[in-house]
Amino acid sequence: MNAAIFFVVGIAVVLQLTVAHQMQELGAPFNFVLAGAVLLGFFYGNYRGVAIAVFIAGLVLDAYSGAPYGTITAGLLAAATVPAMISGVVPREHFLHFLLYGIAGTLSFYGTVLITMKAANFSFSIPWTAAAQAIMVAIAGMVVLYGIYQWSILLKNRRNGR
Amino acid sequence: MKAPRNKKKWIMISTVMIALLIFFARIGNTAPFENGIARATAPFTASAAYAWRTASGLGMTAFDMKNAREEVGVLREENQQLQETVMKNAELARENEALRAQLGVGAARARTLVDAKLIAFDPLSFTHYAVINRGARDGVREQMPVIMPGDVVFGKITNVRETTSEVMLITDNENKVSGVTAADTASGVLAGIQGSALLLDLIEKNAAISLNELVVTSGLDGVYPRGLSIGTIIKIISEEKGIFQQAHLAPAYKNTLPATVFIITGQQ
Repeated sequence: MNAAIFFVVGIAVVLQLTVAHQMQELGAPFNFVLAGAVLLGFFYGNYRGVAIAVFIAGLVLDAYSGAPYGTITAGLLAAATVPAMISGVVPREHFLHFLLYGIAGTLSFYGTVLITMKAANFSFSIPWTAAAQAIMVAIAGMVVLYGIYQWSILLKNRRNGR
Repeated sequence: MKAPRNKKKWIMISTVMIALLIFFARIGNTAPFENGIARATAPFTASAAYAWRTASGLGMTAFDMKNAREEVGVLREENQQLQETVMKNAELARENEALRAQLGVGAARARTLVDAKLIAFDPLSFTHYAVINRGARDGVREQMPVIMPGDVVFGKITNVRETTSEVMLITDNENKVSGVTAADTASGVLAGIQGSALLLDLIEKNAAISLNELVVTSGLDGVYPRGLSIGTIIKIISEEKGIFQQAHLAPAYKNTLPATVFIITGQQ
């Protein structure tokens, strides 16, 4: 299971460094690694494995970012940790459980990133509009991916006559 | 009972790690570690960038084929206009040379350029940076301007490693550039704003600016030489009470993963 987590996070890192910029230019600043962290944590429940994988991914991404080193790592670690803390509040089968999980992960990531950037450089002005846009795109993207996953399961069950 | 205790334990570890990372980001003494990771991963990132460029290039080729017939007509017309412009420019160049000779002014200064490939873009959407495959061993230094073919400003070097460098794009909020309209009627200071637009600020209230006007570097900021294309004006903000005007610009550089950029390493 850990190998699958590392593989998915690795692919997400590559996408983040190449494709994400073009998506951002189109007005959809989607974060593949954040989505990977939230979805893997939700589906596999291996929060610790996900946290280790995104910690390493964060160290790599930080080397390519203009933000102070450690910013993305701290954000991703928060995104893997905070949802795990609140998991269990809503029954797992309920759709709201994923929504809550996704919102918690996204807010933790962007909250930590902005706090770290502000802490590193007090003159940094928080780009509220860009942050709100990034949060909305991330949550919407995760819900779409979750929907696709659930739909594929439904199709599979139907095919098997269940 | 064992699982919740383990969960609590690693949540505590994560929290401590996050606090430590924020602390290290604040003190900012991580360059050797950061450079080591960048050096180790740069070949993989460069390969991924190459693969993505090729794949997206193929996609674009298919898309272009669809609109090819329409574009051929437009391009033929443009070509005719450009040929006329080239002839006029050649005449002007000859005239310019003759005038320089008469005035005893030397030829226009030549630039020394180093070509570089873009290997990654900033993974965060709040900062606009890119990483190129040239570093200190290629003669790259901090604050050197980076341009694209056609004398279009791309950004400036902010962090140099041995084999790679970080470029702060012109659209980054921290990248202040002194700009002037191509007609030299208005000047101001440029910086990135939300998204990938640019804001030309501190333009004199009575200065004449118009939509679609080209803005170039003025050379006054000490980083970018004069005459590099920055972008075109897409919106003008002029309030009655204000002392200055502002203008929004669309950057001239194409927001894709371009194959090659050039670092201006010197001017003769």
